[in-house]
Amino acid sequence: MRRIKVRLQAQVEMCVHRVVTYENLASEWSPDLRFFVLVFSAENQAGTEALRQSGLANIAWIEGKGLQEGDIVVPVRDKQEVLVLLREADAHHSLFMTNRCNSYCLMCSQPPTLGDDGWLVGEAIDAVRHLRKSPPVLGLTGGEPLLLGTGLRQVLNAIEQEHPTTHVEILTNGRLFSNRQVVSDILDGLTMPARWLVPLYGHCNFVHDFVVQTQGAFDETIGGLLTLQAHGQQIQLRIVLIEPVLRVLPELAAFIGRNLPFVREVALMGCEPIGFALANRELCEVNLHEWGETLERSARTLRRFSIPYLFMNAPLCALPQSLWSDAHRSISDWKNEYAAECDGCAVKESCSGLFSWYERGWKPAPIRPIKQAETIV
Amino acid sequence: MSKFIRNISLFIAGLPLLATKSYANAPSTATVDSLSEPDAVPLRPLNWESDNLFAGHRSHSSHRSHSSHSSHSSHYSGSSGVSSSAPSYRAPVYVAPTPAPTQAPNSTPAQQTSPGQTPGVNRLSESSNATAPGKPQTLAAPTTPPSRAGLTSSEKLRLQIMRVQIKLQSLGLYSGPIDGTLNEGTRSALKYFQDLKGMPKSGAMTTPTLNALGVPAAN
Repeated sequence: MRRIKVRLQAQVEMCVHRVVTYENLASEWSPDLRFFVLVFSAENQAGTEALRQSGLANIAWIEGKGLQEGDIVVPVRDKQEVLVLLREADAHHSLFMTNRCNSYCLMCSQPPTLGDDGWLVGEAIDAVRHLRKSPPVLGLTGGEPLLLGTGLRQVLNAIEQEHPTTHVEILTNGRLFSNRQVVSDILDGLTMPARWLVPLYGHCNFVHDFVVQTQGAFDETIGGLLTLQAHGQQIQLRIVLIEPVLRVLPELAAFIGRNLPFVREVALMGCEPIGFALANRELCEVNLHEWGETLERSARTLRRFSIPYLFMNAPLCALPQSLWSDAHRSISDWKNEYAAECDGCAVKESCSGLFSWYERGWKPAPIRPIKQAETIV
Repeated sequence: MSKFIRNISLFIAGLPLLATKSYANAPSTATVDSLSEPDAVPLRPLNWESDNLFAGHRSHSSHRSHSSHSSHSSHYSGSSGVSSSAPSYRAPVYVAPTPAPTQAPNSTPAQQTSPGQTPGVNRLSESSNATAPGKPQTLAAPTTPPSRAGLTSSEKLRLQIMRVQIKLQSLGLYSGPIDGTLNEGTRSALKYFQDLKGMPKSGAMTTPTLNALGVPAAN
């Protein structure tokens, strides 16, 4: 999530605001929302203060480079900073639902915490209300969003009401969908277009349970997948390419083809070198280039079962050329970077690039620029 | 096909005419022209006449203006209590529209009623005088964004006046309270603005005035 240094009017509420320019305040102002007026001059600042004194309690001025009109921001307490929750110009939009989780994955990029963070539900709903333009896709992430139960449903309802054209993607391990109460709380009568992004790390319980570091997780996740299918929900399986998973990847692909043929697609994802992945580096750091044959074999298996698949977070130079067309630019805008070597690369435009923290962690493979001549097959 | 589009757009443009008499002199043909030319650059004004529900509205206190659109009168009289002189804006009351066509059936109750209000009471008072004013709301519903659908007519009026007041103040023409009432200061500022723009000095929120101010009508 972006953090931006700002200068902010005193005594603002520590909750969600929409950034608006001084010129457009009159056309966007609404009593049920809160606005930060983006000012560029002392004149605008005084004008905003005058408007506030005239009775507009829900506006305050803000000044900061890097803020854009339409940004949905939350001020950080005791700091001259805001968090940008949503930005219209981004390619990927997501809302953070909770930091709690019932799994403890080896390569978790967002290590879970125990504290009650239920206020995040209200913040997410507020952000949805403040959002000016409906994004085509909005992701809900965590933590494990199913832990919120009805709270998750409230967020989904808010999105359906405020942005009926938006498709929602929910990142979940699906384990709680083996619980009937959770299923009815969240899925009963859910008609909006939603896709559930569920990780699966093995074709048998001991591999999956080892990767997510939780006994019984495999059975619960499979139960959750079957429940989602029974409710007619779309599923994307997500497989993070770390060593224990890569070792069984062809078998896992065949398992999916035989037992979970209803999934919409399988995402094969490079590991994000942050969080627990740094602590479990010997298991998580792989050179994708060395696993090229495994990747090709698994992709072939998925193709044979007619299951669409794609690669995420994998730079093109780390993949066999036969898989380039399956690779996507998947890394969220705010944490996406390219290495110095990428400058001379002929396919940089269509490459996912790297996570910003690759320098503190590792690269998914040695990065090399692709020459124009190599791109002609 | 284009004939069908022309017909349906004529029909849609005519809907407000069926609903209230106050729209009787709205130029309905303009909408049709822009639709029959699918490749044309959409040069539409910010607000059509039919978007602006309050073009003839002069002030809250004068009952003379209400006679122009009699169907709204019962609603407006109820709003006189809302237009208090308190400078700060009060939390809006989200009354679930009784014949809500666009509202999702499973929408959260928290978003339809403001915290301090009991929903039952609101709905009662709404339904008791909703027979006439409820109608234009339901007809206009398909074209309005869902977030605005919950506003009553008087709340829309307040919102529109407040937006006009914000714009006038940022232009330096108005320095009074931004309270959603079309008071003397707002009207004289409007007249001054209209004079600057060479418009008839009516002091009312006519559609050309709103367009010149760049203020979208609340509808």
